[in-house]
Amino acid sequence: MRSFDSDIDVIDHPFPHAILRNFLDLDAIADELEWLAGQEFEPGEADLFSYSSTRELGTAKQLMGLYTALGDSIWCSQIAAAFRTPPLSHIDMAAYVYTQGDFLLPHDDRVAGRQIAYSLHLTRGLREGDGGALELFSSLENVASSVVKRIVPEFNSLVLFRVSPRSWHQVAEVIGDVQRLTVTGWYHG
Amino acid sequence: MVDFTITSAWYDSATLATVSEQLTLERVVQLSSFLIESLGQLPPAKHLEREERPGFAVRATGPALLAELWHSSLLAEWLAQATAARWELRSCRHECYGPGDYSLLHDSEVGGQRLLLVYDLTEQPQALNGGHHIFNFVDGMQATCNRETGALMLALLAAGDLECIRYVSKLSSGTVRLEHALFEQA
Repeated sequence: MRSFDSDIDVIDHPFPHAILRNFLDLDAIADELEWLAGQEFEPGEADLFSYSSTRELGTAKQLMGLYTALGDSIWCSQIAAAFRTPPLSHIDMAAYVYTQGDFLLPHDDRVAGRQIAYSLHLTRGLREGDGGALELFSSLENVASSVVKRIVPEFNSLVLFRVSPRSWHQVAEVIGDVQRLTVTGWYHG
Repeated sequence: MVDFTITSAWYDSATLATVSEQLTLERVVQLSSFLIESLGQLPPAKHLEREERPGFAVRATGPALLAELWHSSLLAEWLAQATAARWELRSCRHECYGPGDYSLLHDSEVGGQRLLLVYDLTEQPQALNGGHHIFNFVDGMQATCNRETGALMLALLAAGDLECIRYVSKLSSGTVRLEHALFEQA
């Protein structure tokens, strides 16, 4: 189900991250993505975010191919080696949709056990003007400073980053009349 | 010279008793048309100081426009009647939240029992998407308070209670303008 077969190129600034294009074999996984699009997305609101999300999907047998592509042991070993983390044991996985006006404000993702965050982008044709970019912050003494990198979601790209006190990031508000769909979660040590 | 006189309706003893009761029960109350006179032209946001603290607050702030009111014995006496307690001003400032601005849920620099007063100077609340107040109380209770021009919001907060201003959408054409005053029990 994975079409990506290159080395993982980790970029160190502002904190270790990687952007892997053409990650999935889309022909092989088309049925699973269609099933995913039909799932129930529950709206969520807090001071930090506004988006809709599914339940945890790691146990959904309809997504076994996707789960394996993201979390099989060979792939986990490659990621751990590239990011120099302890061995990675498993992933969690849920889908998120951001529509016009949705956002996720700055945070660092730190929760016990999380080693690597991932986001698999599944919307075709998003443009910079639509908003919804994953924005990475520089930091000073682990306090977020300013956005230094914007990653416009590219269809079938997987973004990975090392979770640390420096991994401040946000999802810019979606401005366009679009749906920003991702499968997102964490690799746990 | 702006007249900082409190609208007579808010001096009525039955009304004050209701405010006190509501504040005790719900911890947040909003009093419409609190002052007799509006403040008039506000200073442009560009004259305020930007506060860029991603993950905490992104906004503009400046000296309180109602400093005279916040320091006045008139208000102190009114608060004593409305809350059955006496309060001392700890800090006050003007706050401005334009499109893309926000504060996240946070505690106050005053740790214990405190009274937050917010006088709303927002000119077009209907043009906002976001910008409202959110409260998360330590006992699990939550409250929100929408913007209302000329209203005074009172919030009775204890240690661990959190408050924030909801992210103002970039699709909004309005700007939140607030006078923020924090009191602690005398």
